Amino acid sequence: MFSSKVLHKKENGTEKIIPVKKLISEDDKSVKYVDYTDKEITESIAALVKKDGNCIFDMKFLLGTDRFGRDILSRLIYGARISLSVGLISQGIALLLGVFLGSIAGYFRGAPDRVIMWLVNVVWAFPSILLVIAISIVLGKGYWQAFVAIGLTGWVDIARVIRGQIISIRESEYVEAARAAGFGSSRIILRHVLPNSFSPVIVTSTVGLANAIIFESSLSFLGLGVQPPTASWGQMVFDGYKFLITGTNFGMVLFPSLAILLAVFAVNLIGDGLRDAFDPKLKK
Amino acid sequence: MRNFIIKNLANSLLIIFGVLTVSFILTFLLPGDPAKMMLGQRADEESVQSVRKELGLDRPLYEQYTSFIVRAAKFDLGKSYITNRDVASTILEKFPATIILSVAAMVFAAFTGILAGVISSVKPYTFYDYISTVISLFGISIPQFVLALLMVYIFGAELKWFPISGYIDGGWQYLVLPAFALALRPMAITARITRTSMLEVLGKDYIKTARAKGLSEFSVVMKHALRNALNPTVTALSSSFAATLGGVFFIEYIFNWPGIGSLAMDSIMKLDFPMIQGSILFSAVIFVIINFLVDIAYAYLDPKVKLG
Repeated sequence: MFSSKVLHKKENGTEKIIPVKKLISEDDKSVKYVDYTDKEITESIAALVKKDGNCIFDMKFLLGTDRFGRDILSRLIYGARISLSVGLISQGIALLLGVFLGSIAGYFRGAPDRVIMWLVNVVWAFPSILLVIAISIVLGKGYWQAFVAIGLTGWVDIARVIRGQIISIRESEYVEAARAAGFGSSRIILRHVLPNSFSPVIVTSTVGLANAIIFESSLSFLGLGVQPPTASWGQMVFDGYKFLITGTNFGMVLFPSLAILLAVFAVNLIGDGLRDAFDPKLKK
Repeated sequence: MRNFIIKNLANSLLIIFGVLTVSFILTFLLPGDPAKMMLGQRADEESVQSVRKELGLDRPLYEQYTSFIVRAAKFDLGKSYITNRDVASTILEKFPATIILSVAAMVFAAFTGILAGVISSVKPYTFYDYISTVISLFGISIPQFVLALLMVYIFGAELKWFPISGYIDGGWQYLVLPAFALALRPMAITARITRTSMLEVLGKDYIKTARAKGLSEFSVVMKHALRNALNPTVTALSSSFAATLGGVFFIEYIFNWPGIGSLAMDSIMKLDFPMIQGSILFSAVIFVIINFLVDIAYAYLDPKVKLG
């Protein structure tokens, strides 16, 4: 399995008994750490520890290290930035686009509605993950490309929901009153219609956020997202995937996978909670 | 009925037209010269020019666009940069594998998902309901590639129950892991939707009537409630079926299942653009066609749909 231990060497320890040269850094005082994917190295170190009381194993890297000796736990923590920020920004883009187009379609109906719904259906027809991948190939690999690609595919759900909401709200009496008072369309949409249609939109965009995190990790799994050495969860899973069958360091796949899973799970839980909170039928 | 079909057909054709346009735009925006990519970076200028001419890249944009649409209508999607094989026939060759995987997964997902949803709705807020809710939330939250990798590791590498890579011609065992990995998400969605809609139906008056008639609880739930609650479930299942028929990208790729998904993934890895474009187009068109058929089927089964 993976290792959580580090090879320390005490000040007065003798260097010659450490069998694998690679493990010894030039500076004697530094901490020695190894990638524990190699069974032979692990065994020789275990033997060494038995022989020499000066060497001790120490809990230093709680989740082990990857093949470059980088701490998996700290890479996970840094990777959270990428996943969450890409998720949030792409949902921001999706929300702006979706609310804008959805409210135009719902409020004005007629020709603009038909054109926008056609666009929604076209984007809907593509498998979203492939569309995200295709857009990010066009834009190039990288950080901002990832959230633009995800945002450009994610707006359709929001547009649909908001259109449906607005179609039912625009017939209501307070909208009629606002129209009778002589308010312009943009004022009615922004001040009267949108605030009253927001709860399902919030729920939808929470689900969208969960999907965006999945898309981001899929993109970086394919090497199309954030580029190394910046840590991102999908790319960490991919790094570990190479060692999954042959190697023994399962932690390299397991921990980033769990991180993605937990993040998406948590966002979905929030979404579920919000849905229940907004649903008048469930209120007792 | 006829008007309904014609209207839907026209709508679907418009969407397919839009799909073609979007994929043309995406291909046009791609960085790099397609002719150079086909021939490799070290090709001489002359042959690059002749390939550009062959592909029609020297013509104005609107001509390229119309010829693209015309060729797509004839199922001519160009040739692969890597293998130089015809894209359309390669895709059709891979299609049966995707159909097998997708049907197996959907049957499993429908059966277990509906069963789990019904049990949760009959006994809401019990231990079983919570377990099923948590599992389905888990099923919705796990990305395909994470699930596939975990299953490869647990059932393939550690327990060695099932083979982790290969096609069904080696035996039914090869289908188990990919089909289950694919089924988990639709299963979770089905369970959640069935639960919600069953809870609503079970509160209706005709259920009270059925109970008052002295029918057994089983027949009340399965005959009176479930039949009326299945509508949203069928919609969800058919749309995930339509989506998976167009290729199951990560799962096919990781389990080495020779379908459209792994074809698309391979072409993405190798940046084989005609193949990527072909498989994206194919997925989208299949999605539109299946949804069209489902709409027609709905109109047959439920006359109210035609009016709405």
